[in-house]
Amino acid sequence: MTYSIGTLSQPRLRRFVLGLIALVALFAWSSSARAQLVVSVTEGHTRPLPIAITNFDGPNGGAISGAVRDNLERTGLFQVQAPSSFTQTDTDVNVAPRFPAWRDISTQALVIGRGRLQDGRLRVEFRMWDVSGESQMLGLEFASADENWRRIAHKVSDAIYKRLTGEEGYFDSRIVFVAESGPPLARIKRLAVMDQDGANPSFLTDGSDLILNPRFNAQGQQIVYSALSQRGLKVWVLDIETGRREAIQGTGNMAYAPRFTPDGQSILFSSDTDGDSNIFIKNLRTGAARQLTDNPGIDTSPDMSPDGREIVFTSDRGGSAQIYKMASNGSGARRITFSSGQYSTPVWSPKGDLIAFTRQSGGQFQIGVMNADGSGERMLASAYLVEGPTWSPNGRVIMFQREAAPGSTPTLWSVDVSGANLRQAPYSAASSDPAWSAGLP
Amino acid sequence: MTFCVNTMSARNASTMLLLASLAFGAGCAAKPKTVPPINEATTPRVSEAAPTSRPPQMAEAPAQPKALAPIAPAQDINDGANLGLRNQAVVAQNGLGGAQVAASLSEAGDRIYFMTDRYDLTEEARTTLARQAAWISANPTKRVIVAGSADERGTREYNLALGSRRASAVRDYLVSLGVTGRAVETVSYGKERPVDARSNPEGWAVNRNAQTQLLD
Repeated sequence: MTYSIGTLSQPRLRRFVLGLIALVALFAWSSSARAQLVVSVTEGHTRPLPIAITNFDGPNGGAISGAVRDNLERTGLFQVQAPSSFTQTDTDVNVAPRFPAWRDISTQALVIGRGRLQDGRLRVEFRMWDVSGESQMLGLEFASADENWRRIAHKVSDAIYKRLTGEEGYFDSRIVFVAESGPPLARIKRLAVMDQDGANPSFLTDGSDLILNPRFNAQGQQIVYSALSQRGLKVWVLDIETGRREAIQGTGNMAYAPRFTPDGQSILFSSDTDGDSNIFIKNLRTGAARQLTDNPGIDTSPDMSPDGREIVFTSDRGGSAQIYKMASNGSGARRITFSSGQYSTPVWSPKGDLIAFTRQSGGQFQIGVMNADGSGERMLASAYLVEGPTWSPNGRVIMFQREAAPGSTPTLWSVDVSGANLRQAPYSAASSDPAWSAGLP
Repeated sequence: MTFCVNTMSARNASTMLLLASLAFGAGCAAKPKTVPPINEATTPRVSEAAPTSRPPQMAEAPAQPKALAPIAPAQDINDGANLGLRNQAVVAQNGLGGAQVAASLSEAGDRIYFMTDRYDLTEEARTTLARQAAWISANPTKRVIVAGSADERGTREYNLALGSRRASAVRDYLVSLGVTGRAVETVSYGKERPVDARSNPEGWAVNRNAQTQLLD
């Protein structure tokens, strides 16, 4: 799969653009006066930015535009205008739009694009316009094999998102999760992956074992998960490209709660000896394993910080389930949650500044975030069961499993780290244990 | 997978920055999108400490469709050479002295129950495990696996650890009653294999269990 990206030449706009270059210096001084067309992703209650995305010309053009609209709509940061409201219908990617027609429908950003097949590849070019300022904000081209049009749509979405928010996009990414089926007392749980927007779901196991807690490595090529059979609980590493599986041996017949280290070289996991769960690390290349915790309490759900220095984990060594941190060699364990309730499943944000977790209190479960030192905790979602947060590649969105009420089917939900935009994920079938990949290359 | 990026021309890049800077203080006309409220009110509050010393009888009733051990001629429990003194004492204390060994694990009672977030054995559980121990000891060619389970009111990974503790508590007790350690494996099912579909305190009480199953 090959992608290429290029900037658009601006044949008809050059005169207009050149005329504005003189203003660069002016704006370099007046940073305080900067009034940009931007969207804040940090504030919980910003008003969504109205954006219009025309149906792209060319092969799969309407589908590409639809995927871009859906991506932007789900962020909660944009008010995506309905194409039926557009009054200019003769747009051309290489012609400046009639701006008054777009101001009439109160849109602020406008995207016009076109795809064409060239030498067996689909090339999609697009421009984004600032409607009020009557100026181009973005002009890019992506190319790939024709069947990868959805990934092109995600790359386009990422570019728009980044231009308007200043943050990396997260649309060209995947989710590994557990697809559930069957009655409650005979559940079937299969390993599955899908695109972040719910497209292209596929199953990677046959359902004979119960698959639990899958996670990607940072490179997105391997998945680690645990599989429960009648006799035991095993950790497996699956290479997506080759389909090769390798078991990670624990101390007894139970190994679970696996996660890759950020460098993808090792697996952190829990293993059990005579009922005592401790945390281990195993190097995938050398096979060397090391025990990191050794105490009679439960130690599980380890996750290494992005800088590789610390491990956060769940332990009940103090009497109830709480979140602890230790150095990555296992030394210096200390508790970082002290509020009422039980805490578990801590996960570092991609930037390492926050830790998301599950909290159980007052008969409800909550998804929350706190600073990496345990301070400043905020609850983002609550229900009969919410569990297992996972971060979007840019650290702005958290996905988790949710059961609204007793007996509800588990489904995947997401919420912004600001606490806004709680919504069900596009894949609506019974599912649990989501884990987000990094952005795809 | 390869991915090539053609860098922007400097003029183009600076132009784009400029144009962004040129923008427009125009406020957004749209109203904020409302976010669905967190669904707190509709879910019942449940006590985590619901007393559940005696789970509903139905949990123990269903006959297990597993292969039963051949019914051996009646054995006097005191004849079991591999039962230690301690076991005899426990069995006697539980009023089973001189009684026949259960014909099967199911008859002995193959499942015991736990309090919320606990793995210590209740008196009732000990009584059941004494019957299991007698059966296992009387069937020395058989091996069993103890599967520990947790209710759904915990996170998946923590519950796997909790189920493991429960299974080990059962194994330890069986061994203390004279059962050979080699004859007992353990596994945790966490909250993955519930036996009661009810999402309420009664159902949770049944699902906090350890089940002793015959290995092939």
